[in-house]
Amino acid sequence: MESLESIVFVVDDELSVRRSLFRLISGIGFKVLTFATAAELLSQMPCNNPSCLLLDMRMPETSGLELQSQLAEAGINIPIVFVTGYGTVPLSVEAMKAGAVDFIEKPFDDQKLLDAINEAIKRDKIARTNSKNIEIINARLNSLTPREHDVFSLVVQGFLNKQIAHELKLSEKTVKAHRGRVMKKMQAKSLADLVRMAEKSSC
Amino acid sequence: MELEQLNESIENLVWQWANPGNALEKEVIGLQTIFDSIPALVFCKDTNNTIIRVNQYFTEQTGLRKEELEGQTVFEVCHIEKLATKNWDDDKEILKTGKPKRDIIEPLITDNRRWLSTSKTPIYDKKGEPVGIAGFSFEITGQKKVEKEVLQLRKELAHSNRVTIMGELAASVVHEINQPLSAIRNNAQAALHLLQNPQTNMPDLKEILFDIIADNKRASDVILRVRDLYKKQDHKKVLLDLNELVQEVFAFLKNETITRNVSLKLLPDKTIPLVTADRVQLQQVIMNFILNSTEAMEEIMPIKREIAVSIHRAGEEKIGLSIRDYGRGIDKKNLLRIFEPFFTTKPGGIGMGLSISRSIIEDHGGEVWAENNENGGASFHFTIQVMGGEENGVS
Repeated sequence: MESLESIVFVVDDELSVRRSLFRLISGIGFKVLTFATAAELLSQMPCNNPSCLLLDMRMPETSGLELQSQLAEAGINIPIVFVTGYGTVPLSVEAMKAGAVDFIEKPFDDQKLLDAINEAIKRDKIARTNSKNIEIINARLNSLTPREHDVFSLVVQGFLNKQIAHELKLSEKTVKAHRGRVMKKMQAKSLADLVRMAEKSSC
Repeated sequence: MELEQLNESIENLVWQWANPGNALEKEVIGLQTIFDSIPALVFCKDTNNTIIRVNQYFTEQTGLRKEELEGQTVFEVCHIEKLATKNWDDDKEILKTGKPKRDIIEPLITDNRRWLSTSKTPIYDKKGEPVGIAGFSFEITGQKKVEKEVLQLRKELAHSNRVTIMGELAASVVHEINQPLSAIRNNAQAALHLLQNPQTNMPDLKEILFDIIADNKRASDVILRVRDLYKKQDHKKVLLDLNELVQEVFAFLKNETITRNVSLKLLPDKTIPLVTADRVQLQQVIMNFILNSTEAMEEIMPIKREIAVSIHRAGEEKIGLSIRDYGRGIDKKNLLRIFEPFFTTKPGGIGMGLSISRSIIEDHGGEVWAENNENGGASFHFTIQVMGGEENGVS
């Protein structure tokens, strides 16, 4: 996954602005895809590469804010950097509340743009790693038998083998055997490791 | 017709008065008394620009004695050469064509701050040869002053209406200038990055520079458009294509309408002739209507907010333009009043936009009216004359 190239998606209704952004962002080393409308972008989503979206706030038909909520409804969690013009501060506040990474005001310096894009892509990568990890943990959890699952739940809650045995009406020896298998199947190196996995899987 | 007959009989009398010939002294004195009692400047000239006779009012108004006028040419009496030349040109034309000239607006020969309305007619002898010119003038300085003031006031109001429009559009205008500025900065920064790379090729840089120039032009065009609207100028009527004019207005209002979720639609008529009109003033009228319609649609669903401008022929001599919206419409009792000055239904409005629009349209030889549509919203219509109204002489 690390080998996949990062992509910056750009949505702006003005051709000259798109062209200039394409040049600038590819000049600082990212792959860039530009779109004139929200609909054109949506047809390319979701994207498997680490990516972010540079989105113009003010557009005819579907505005930047509307696109943001459409993406959220579709469960596409691409980090958004809003590009705003004059007089859109209240809208920017709304955008940030709805989870935008940042907003930069036109015209902007390349460094500011680069910082915003880097931050957004970093967030996307972390989010992707997290969700990947959760998938792995969930797969391991699914491999547990119902009994092992019971033992797992109690172990991560901090119960001792003796208490678990009492709770599940099993012998302490049997609990120990289940616990050994849980540790192995979950590939946990320690009890602390197992607890962390439990926390992640629940979120 | 009556006035014309009266004019002619006066002219004949004037000639008799100027050339008593065989008339009895009693009659001559009688005529002199009559002419001296007329509160108008009465005069008679020969065919060589020499003044033969003037009445008492003429001497009073010019401040010159009879002897200083009679027997002198207009060039000798009037020290403003341009004026005397114009006066003589009129005489020559009258003598040549044999037709009288009425309602000549000209300054008094001894004071160009005072204005006269003059009528002159050629006089013939029994053989039908032209022998001179008879004429009379009324002073219209006061009327002229009022006209000038009214025109000035109208100009001021029209200008302040444009300034108000610009105020409403300020955010959009800033956006329109900001867009190309932003693209220019991006492009210049991209060019700097390219220059750091030794393999950069010239065509890439050239393309960037061309884009920068194009965007710069775009920004200046916006500024020029705004400047035209802000400028206090004597407007000129030129040949215009109304279809193009509306498109220019659309370009101007593009951002404003995006912000307000209004879509603009033009139904052009490519067969209409060009019209003689003032570009800035007509743009102002159309903008007033569109902005009104935009406000009238604030309460309806964004998807239904549409303004359609259609252009069509309205008879032989006129072109019509209609602006239709889907807003709240106009209260029936206000339909006729909305074009009155200071009539407004808007909380912050001063009620000038539509009344100024009406005076602009009337100045273009047209009419303006409003109506409610059968299926909701209102329509504003106006017509303008293909050849335009007369250029107002007072400027």
